[in-house]
Amino acid sequence: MSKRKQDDTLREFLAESEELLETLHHSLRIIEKAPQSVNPETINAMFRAAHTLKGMSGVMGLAAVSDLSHSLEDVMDRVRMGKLAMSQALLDVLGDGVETLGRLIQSAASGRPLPETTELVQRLREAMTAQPSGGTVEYPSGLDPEIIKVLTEYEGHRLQENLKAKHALFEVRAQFRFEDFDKALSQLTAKLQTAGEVITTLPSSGISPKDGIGFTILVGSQRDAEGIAELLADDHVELVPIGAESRALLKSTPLPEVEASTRSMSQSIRVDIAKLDGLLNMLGELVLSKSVIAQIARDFMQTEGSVGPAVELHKAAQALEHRVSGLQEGLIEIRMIPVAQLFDRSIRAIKKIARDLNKEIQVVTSGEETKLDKSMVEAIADPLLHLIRNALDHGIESREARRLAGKPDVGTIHLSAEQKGNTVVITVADDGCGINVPKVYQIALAKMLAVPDKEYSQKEIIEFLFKPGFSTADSVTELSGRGVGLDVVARHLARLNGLVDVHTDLGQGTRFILTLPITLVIIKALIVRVGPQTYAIPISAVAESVMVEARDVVTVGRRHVIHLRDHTLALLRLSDLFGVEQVTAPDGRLYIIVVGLAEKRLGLVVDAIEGQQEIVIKSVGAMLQGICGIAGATELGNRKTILVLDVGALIDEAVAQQPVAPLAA
Amino acid sequence: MKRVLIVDDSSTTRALIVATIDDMEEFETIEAPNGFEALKRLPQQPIDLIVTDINMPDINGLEIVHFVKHHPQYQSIPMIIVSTEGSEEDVRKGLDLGAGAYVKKPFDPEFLKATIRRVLNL
Repeated sequence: MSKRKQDDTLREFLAESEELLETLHHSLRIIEKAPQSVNPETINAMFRAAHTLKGMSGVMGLAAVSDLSHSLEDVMDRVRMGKLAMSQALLDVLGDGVETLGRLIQSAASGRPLPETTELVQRLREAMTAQPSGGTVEYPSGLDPEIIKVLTEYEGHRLQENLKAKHALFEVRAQFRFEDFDKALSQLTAKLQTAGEVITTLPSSGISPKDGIGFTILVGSQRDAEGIAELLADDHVELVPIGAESRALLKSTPLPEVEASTRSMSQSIRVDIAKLDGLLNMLGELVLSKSVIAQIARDFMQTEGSVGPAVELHKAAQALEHRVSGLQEGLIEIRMIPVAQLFDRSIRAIKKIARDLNKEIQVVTSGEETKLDKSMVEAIADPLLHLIRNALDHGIESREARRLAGKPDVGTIHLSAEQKGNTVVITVADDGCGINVPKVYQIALAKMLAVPDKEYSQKEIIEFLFKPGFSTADSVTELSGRGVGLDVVARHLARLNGLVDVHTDLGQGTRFILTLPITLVIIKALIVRVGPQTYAIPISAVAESVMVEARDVVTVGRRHVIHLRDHTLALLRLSDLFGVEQVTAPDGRLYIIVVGLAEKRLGLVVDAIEGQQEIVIKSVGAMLQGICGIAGATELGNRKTILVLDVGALIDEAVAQQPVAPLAA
Repeated sequence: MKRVLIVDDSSTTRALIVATIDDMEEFETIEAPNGFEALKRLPQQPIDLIVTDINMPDINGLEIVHFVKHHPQYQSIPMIIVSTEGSEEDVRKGLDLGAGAYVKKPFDPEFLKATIRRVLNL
């Protein structure tokens, strides 16, 4: 195989394994909710995902992946064939198996050293207290012998299970038009599944597609023949109960003639995310062109007045704007995936960490259907995991401590997501001990982060948590004591133009609130002016903007601050930072854009706010690279290139109080 | 140019089977990710060989073999089952229903090529 083909296949493999891993995670979660009353289809879905992974990693030559998926497949095969009962211990080892499989695939694909799996494979093997394979399958009299010929071993087992449960068996025979049989059959299958289990579906057909296509569906149900007949009264199907006397209850009627079509049946396609990125970038250019045309149309109207061509151009520009917005919404929508995928992975991690810490945790989720850009979901996974680790390690108390505090033994972690305008808010809440503010203060003092004798508000003290190297754990634990603190989370969020906020009640729990833009490529920005220069600030990083009198600004030490609603807000004059002249309005007013991460807020002093606009961030050239405080550049409709501020870096700078390389305007 | 229909719900596996068949330089390949799609593909163009997996949702590989081998127009199309080692009974059923050969996944490309040549009498 050529190198390119190999690369293509590897990409295909990674994309497909990601989907299969999601299926495994998701099925596990469903099983965990009610291990003893799981729909056989969920168990089978897990088996099939492991089975497919085994097959495809085998053909790819990834032996370690293939071996581990094989072990998972074996376990799930026994479960689905009724040879192994679901138990918490089994769920735990399956959970570890799926999680390791994910890491294994990543490592194998990128050529990194593989995680150790021998012990895990051994545990999976031990979990299979295999019994000799089940007895021979006995088929009920009256069952179509053609169906017996096509039943897989698993389907044979499901048939036996239905017989054991004394369920009634039916053959449902349906005839569909060839053009849309897939849709019609899916509808019929879904209907049957409300009444029982679809064991198998055998297609048969006449000579030409014009004759349509027939299906014999074998169904097991608790309902009797009359019940099923009633359910299917409006469908053009034949219903044959299987048993002593097989007699058709419903007769199919000929199909109404409908003009043939040759529509494809495929409902979805898989697209490489890089292709969507490319399209979105192109769309970004289109958004810019649109702004340029809109600006020209406005200028034209101003110079020419509201006459013929000027009005026509204006109308055309508006129509273009409308359509580009539609295109943009559509394209962004394609990239959106529900945060449920992220939550599924997180829950798995929570269970594992909780087990390692010997803490009992229940996870509550809400808003799982909230959608977020796929790249954003990937980017947020690590910071989210970090917050979860923190909540489990420092938040949720030991069982004994919880009892003493009169709390339920089982701690709760609540993951929620909610869309608010152009942002998505993800919350990690725990019902643990809350942040011990006096203790945080003591540590801040000991680490010389806080100045002795200075008064700090509770918010200011909590701010210390976001300083590099801060840790409140009494002992350095394996989980969080890696020298990586909340500062990393905050910086990560800032890079994504997001915010992190903390709310805590001592003894009651802590909430971390992440606010993220829905997508990274096209963002809403606040356009501000400083002297002769214009800058863009991502709206998602802006908490508020206020207008103050120049005399309200006071100097504390070497720093400018203002008092804003009982809080002291540090200021950063963009004019100083970028070496441009500040033009204070004649009335002595200036604007402060409050940007911030958690308790770490900063006021950016600007001369004027020019409005909000959608912008496409482009990377800056080599000349500007490495200059602090600049995230990139963008163009406005007036064809001027302006700089987009990097709020995270600005805050870091302000905190570090180091001089910034002046930028020649 | 002979035409091969490849039915497998794993796109990776399909890609590898396609790559192997492309290598033989005498076939054109058509892919179907599930049984439904396979049924749709059949009347669209003449097919000279079907390579199918067994374990697939909705319509399994055995049912595809059954459909093809009972269809007056398609029954002469040779079929090969390419499936991971699983139930021997399932494979035996597939062969009973009229599949001409079974190739175990993971497959050796040369073995698959040889099997294709054999069932097509090339």
